[in-house]
Amino acid sequence: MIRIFAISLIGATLSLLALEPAAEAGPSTNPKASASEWEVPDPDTTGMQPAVVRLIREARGALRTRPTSPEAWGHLAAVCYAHNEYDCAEVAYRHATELAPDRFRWIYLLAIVRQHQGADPDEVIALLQRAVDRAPDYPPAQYRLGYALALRGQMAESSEVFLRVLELRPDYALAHRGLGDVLLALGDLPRAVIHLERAARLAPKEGAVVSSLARAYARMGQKDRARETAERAQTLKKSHAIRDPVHSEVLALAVNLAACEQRAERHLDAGEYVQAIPDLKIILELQPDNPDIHAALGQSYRESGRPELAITHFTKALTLKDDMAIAHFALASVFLDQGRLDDAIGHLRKTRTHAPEHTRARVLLGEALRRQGDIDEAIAEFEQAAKLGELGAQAHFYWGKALASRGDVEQAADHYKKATQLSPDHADAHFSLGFLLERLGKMEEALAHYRRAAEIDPTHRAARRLRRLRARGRQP
Amino acid sequence: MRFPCVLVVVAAVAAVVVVADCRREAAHEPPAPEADAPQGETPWFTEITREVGLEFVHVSGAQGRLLYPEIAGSGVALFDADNDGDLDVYFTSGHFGLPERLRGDAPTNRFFRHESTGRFHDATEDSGLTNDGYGMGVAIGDIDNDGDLDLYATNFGADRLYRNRGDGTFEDITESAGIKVPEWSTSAAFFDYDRDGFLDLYVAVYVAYDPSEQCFDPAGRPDYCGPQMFKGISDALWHNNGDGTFTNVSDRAGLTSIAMPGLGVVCEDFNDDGWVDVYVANDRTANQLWINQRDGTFQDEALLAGAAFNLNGMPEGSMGVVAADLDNDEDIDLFLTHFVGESNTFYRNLGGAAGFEDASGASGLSWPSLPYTGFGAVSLDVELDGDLDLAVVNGRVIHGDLLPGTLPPAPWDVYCEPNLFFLNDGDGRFTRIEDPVAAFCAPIEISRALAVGDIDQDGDLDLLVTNIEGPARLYRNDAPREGHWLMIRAVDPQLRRDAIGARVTVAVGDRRLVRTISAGFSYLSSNDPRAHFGLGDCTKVEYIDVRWPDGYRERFPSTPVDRHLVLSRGDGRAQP
Repeated sequence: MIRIFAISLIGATLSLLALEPAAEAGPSTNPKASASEWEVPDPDTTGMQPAVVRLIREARGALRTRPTSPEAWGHLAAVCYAHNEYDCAEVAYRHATELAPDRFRWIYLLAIVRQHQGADPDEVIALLQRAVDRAPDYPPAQYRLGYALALRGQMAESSEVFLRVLELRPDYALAHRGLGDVLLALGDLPRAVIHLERAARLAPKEGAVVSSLARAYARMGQKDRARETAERAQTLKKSHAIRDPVHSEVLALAVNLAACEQRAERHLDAGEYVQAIPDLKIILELQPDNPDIHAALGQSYRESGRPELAITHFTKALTLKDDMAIAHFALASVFLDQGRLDDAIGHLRKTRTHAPEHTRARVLLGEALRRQGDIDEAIAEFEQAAKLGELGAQAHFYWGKALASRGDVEQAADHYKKATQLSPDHADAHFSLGFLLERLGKMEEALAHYRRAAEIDPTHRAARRLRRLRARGRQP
Repeated sequence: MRFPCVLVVVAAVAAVVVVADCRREAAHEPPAPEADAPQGETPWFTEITREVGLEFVHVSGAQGRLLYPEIAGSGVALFDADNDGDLDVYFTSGHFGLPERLRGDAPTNRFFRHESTGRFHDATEDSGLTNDGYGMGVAIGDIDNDGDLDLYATNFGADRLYRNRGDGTFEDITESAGIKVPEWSTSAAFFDYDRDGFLDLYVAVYVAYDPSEQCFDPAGRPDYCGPQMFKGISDALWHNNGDGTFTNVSDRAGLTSIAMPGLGVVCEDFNDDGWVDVYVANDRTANQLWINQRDGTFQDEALLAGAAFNLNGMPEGSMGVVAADLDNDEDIDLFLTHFVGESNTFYRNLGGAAGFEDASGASGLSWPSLPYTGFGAVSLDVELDGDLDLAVVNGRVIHGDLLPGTLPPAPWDVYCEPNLFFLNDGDGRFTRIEDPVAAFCAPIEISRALAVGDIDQDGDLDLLVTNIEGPARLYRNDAPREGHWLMIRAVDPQLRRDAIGARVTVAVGDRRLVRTISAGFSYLSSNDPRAHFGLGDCTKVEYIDVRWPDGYRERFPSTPVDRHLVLSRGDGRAQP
């Protein structure tokens, strides 16, 4: 449902008129002249998420200052569409189209909205045709036109559209698929199979294409092939898979919970922490007491170089859920970064309490304790970590460091050796082992480990050590 | 389209020759059709709900928690519960105890007995139909071959089976029959898949709903969840042992290999091999076409048969389903209703084992349905011109823009949509009509079930619609008649019941019209099982062929038109 109100900005209109070319045929034929009087759609935002309400309000606000801007109308339309407010989207796209009748984007998006609204097919097809005329080299628009024609039963016209797309882009899988489906409906089975096979080659993981191909084989009487293809289709995901950047841009404006969760998850999985932050903040607005979101936001801030904000959110997460081992560990990591050993040790101990098999926490705890001088306690942690197995090389490496720091050189060397056995590419272990062996006078063995460390990592300090020894004439 | 009859002159003569093998019902003999009735202003449907006392309002029990079953339900059955020759009505409804039933809630399903006066009265209390579950759908069939109709009620929760005592009152035999369907079941249908003479039961099962799951619309407003949030559940096939008990044979039959959210079900012989198959409409996943392997097992052939996905190879949110010869080519096509943004789909049967093609575009059925979420659907020859038209009821499952003229108040108003009616031009091309059928299409409500039957026994088919949180609406067919009609019961005297699954073919002029004796189709509905034929100008039927559910074929001789017939197995001439 939409509430409408008129923009009343006489001053703004006057100033804009001064910037725009003078109307040649009066206000009724110049949309820019009348745009400031157009009513701005005002969707009923009752119950909407605050972020959605803000976005709509901002888009509407932009129109107060730029009522003749097709981009401003288009943006409001897109914001409305992204949140299923189709009536609002339609009105706003129409105005964007009036203001920029030659722009592909607004006509195209208006066509999509109208189709969704179930508008008269003639109107939708005409809009899509206008869009295609303006961007004949944008295949998704052609595909939509072809599919709309098929929905109206105009199979021959639909196949012509798909053929035109294929003239432009012979490898456009969607057009092969659309054409194959339409030819199947037209009963032209041999040609349908050709195009569906091509589509399946171009998009082998697309379940819908493979399903259509199975159907085509079945219609051709090729039962075994049909069955085999059907079995493959059942293992694949089906989606419309219209890679349509223009439409995707609109959908990306969605700031509802599901959209934010999806985007945030995608960014976090890809290690794009800075990009994840806005969506996590929106989620947090809706779920202020969700410890997982606080933890994810803390992690994103930490990775983005904002440790204080990271600490705030990890602390909040732990206020909400004290046994959240992952948050204790992450907070300890920030403290370690900052050299706050006591704080770090406290949270690493809690991590260990709530997740006794958290090997990394034990290794870090041991190292923090070692740095603090609690060697025995540190060694106990390394011993436990080594038993857990997962990070055995690291455990033995730090264990060796702890022993070395209190002078147990031979025992330390044994643990470094163990570390290199468990992880032959552990450059630090090779280096530390070499260093101890050098101290023990076993120069040849020491050199071998320095060389191995330098091989693994040419920038490793082992390389410098070797250069220095060479300079001193201690190595050939 | 008016159906021409080339034999109209000889038919007038032949009409006086009464064939003794065809017993005619004496009661409710309808008047002759008014061939020249004015068509311009006459509304094709008249709502007579209150006039006949069929006052039922669906209870969702919603209390603001947006629990999924609230938006799914409201089934209906049209059936002759007391064997008095007219159709009684059973409505399903919800209760206020979701998700767990609260003790002490009164059952809200209602049973209305059709009196000889033409009025209905609420006979729930003494009927024994005490279903206290959260009601969904209903299936009707004579499970014990005792000549009266029994009732199966699906629920969100345990289903119930009621045996008819013979006088239109029922007893709950769920436990003694061994039936146990504790999940969220939806549509169900009786059919005899193994030809043993006893009606078996197919139950479509939806999803493993978790009430703690909260869902939101794209603007972040709380809304009902969709099926993708939950795991689908395998449907259930119950074999009738013939001794009052049933055995769950779902696993043995091969059904448990697939777990999809089932909503609609129809049992038909789709590949014309004489054995009844099952088609299941699933929500947002592939549909199934369970082809009867004649050994107690079924194989899903939907994908290869072209009936799993639409033209574009995509699954759709299927709800209601119709199986009928929509293009008059003597095989059984499929019509499915779908979610908003997806077209309703017409799968045209290509004949024999050739499968189906999505002919929605060419049929004219796709585009008008795009803005609506369709549920119940039935085919009927509304104006008796010899082809099957389509009625569809709509109503959203997620809220949308408020439509003007919406009947229910908030919060239900944003789920309401108008209904659709399509007129067949004779060969499977349809035109949406609005004005003549405004009474049926115009009420903007959240409609779900749609049942069809000749409620006033006047030879045309009437419609009954249920609405969530709204009144059921009964529409009398007043369409100007463009032809004659015939309504046929096919009865097997040995089984003492309607021959559910029998294929009836009526030869008129140069055409053969095909219908099936079937009650289970649409959405959550059970319908008048009689085969109804609009005959156009034809005043005489050349012959009637019946293929009985066990494959035995008989031909019944010429008969006059405009009457209800009962064809009894054994009274016809055996056919090869």
